[in-house]
Amino acid sequence: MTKPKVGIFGLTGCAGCQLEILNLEEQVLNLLALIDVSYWRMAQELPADPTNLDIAFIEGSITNEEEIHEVKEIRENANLVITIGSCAGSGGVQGMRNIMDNDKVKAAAYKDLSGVRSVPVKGVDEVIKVDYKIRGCPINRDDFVSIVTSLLLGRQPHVWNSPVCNECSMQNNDCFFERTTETPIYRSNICLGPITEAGCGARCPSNGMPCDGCRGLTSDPHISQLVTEARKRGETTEKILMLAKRYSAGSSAVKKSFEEMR
Amino acid sequence: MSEDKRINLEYIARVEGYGQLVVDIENQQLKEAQFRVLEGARFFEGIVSGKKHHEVPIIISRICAICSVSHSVVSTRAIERAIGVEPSEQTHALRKLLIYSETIQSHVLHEYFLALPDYLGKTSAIDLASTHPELVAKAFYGKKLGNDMQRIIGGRAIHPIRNVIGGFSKFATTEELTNLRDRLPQLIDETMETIKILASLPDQPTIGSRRDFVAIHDPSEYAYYDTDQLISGHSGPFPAADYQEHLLEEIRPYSHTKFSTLKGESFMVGALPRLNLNHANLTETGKEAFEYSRLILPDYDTFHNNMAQLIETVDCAQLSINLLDRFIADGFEKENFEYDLHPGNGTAATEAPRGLLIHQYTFDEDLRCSYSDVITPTAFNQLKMETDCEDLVPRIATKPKEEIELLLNMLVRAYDPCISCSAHSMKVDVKFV
Repeated sequence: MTKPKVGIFGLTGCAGCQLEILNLEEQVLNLLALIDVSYWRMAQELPADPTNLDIAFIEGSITNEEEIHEVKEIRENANLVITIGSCAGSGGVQGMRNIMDNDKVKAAAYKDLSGVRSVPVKGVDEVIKVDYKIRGCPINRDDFVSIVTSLLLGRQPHVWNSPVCNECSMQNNDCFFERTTETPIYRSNICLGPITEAGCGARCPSNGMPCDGCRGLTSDPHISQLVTEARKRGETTEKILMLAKRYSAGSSAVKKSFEEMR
Repeated sequence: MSEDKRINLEYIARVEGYGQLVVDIENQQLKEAQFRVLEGARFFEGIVSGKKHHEVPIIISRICAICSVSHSVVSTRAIERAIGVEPSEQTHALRKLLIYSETIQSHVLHEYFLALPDYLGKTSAIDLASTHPELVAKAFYGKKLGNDMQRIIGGRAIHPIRNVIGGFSKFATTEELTNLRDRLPQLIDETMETIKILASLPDQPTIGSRRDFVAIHDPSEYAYYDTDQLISGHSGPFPAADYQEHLLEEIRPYSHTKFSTLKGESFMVGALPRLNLNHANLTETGKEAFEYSRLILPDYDTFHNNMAQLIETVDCAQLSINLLDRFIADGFEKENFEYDLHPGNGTAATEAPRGLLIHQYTFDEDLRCSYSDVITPTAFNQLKMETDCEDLVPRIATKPKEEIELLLNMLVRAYDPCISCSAHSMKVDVKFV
């Protein structure tokens, strides 16, 4: 059997999802026995061949014209395109400028804006067809291995179709959504577990912090119930939406889900 | 015979992010050197504006994965100063442990996977695995240990969860701490061996320059975490809160990018500057590693940043053992998060693995962020990368183009540049020479 030819690409982001792949440690070598990585700029100089790929993994969001061009080229050269992480999947945190006053955001970062060329932040599937999204900010390396294994075996990758709450209750965590005590200074009084897709093992609630929705909306999210509850706690709709779209303001599908709620 | 060379390292592999170095050599003289960032801008200072104090560290750590602990720690510290929170000594000690963990995982990744392959004539760590499996095994051991430390102390290897304003949201168990403690001596022994190997390799590139260094400074310890003072090799200590007066950002006519200067000159931040400025306070184990390295201080040679990172790996492993022993013996005390928060301004300076990192924030009456400033190590180092080309190119200009390219790649990689960090707000100027 010839090994599938794989490329790993980075657009604009923190490079954490690529790093999470490197963080597989010894397992990287096991993986390399099964796939042929022909393009991965972060880890290797050569070979650097981004053509005729069986699988292209894309990390990072689209923030300028060059990246629009680049993802189109990747699509033409790859049989399967898989996004890794929230930036490639739905824009990531930098996408928040789409729902803020864009000029003010840019002016806060630069005194002189003449050299800045940027477009509204986009997840990759706003520009090209994406075959599968690996969720999370960052992705979970076990998730990555499980999905790559499925693909190598010709199976459909696993889809959870359930909210983080399900995993959280299995861990016997105290519920951050059913607030019973005063909210401490270090965290939000809203937990996004009820509307967020599972698969992380309820990572944040298990570490003493509420879910902030990095894996994106679950299927059939009960958004209006969450918003009603948050309003009761004194939050404005605007602030709730800013929190709920922290990682996904570069996704038109997410925008649509929230519009339907309104 | 004069020969003009235009070297465009448009594809600097094995660095974190996407950067470019353009070097013009005319009649064996350097005409121009420009280091550019090709990643898209992300406007983090703008994105955090209007966000509540507790939201900012979560968002801002996303500037960079490999330095996410540093961004989390320095942002929480600066915000605490701004809004009137003074965490316990235990919290400071835990944050130090988190920073040592990050330094270990980042230095190990950089040295074995990104830098050492050049010294051994390899194109990647994957390539290295076929000829030097023992080095790759050491790399995985150290990387995994550093990551596990970040996971156990911070809750996640990338973008830590438990470090929050005022303290930690959850603590590790004694069993977990003991597991980490028991694995660290092997990292020290193996890194010592690698230091001896690197010190013995013949014909290493060198660069002649005596440009300045800057690092955080504490008279009582080799500082990796949050000090009140910064120190320059040429002009001594100054208050960290006054960084904007000393480390001036200037615009240069050929580029839209901002450059940091000290007294109008380029300077370096990172492991080599820290070693030069703070070496007297290395642990005894760190001093032993320094002896094996055969470095002689002051050492201005950028290429020796690689050796300095290996020495710091040993030093951080020893410092981690010391702290873990304490927490295993004493356990953790529950944090007090009761504070009367107020609006205000705060600055914190820390050392990311690749150098000085400064955050400053202002919060309004509603405890929402109204001003922020983030300066990352690669932004500080950018001008120095260019002036290093002025120092290096005359020494190598007669060599074949391929060799010059390799040496310039090695030079840039020695800085362990982190393009994601520098692109958090850097202006992008793609002007091809």
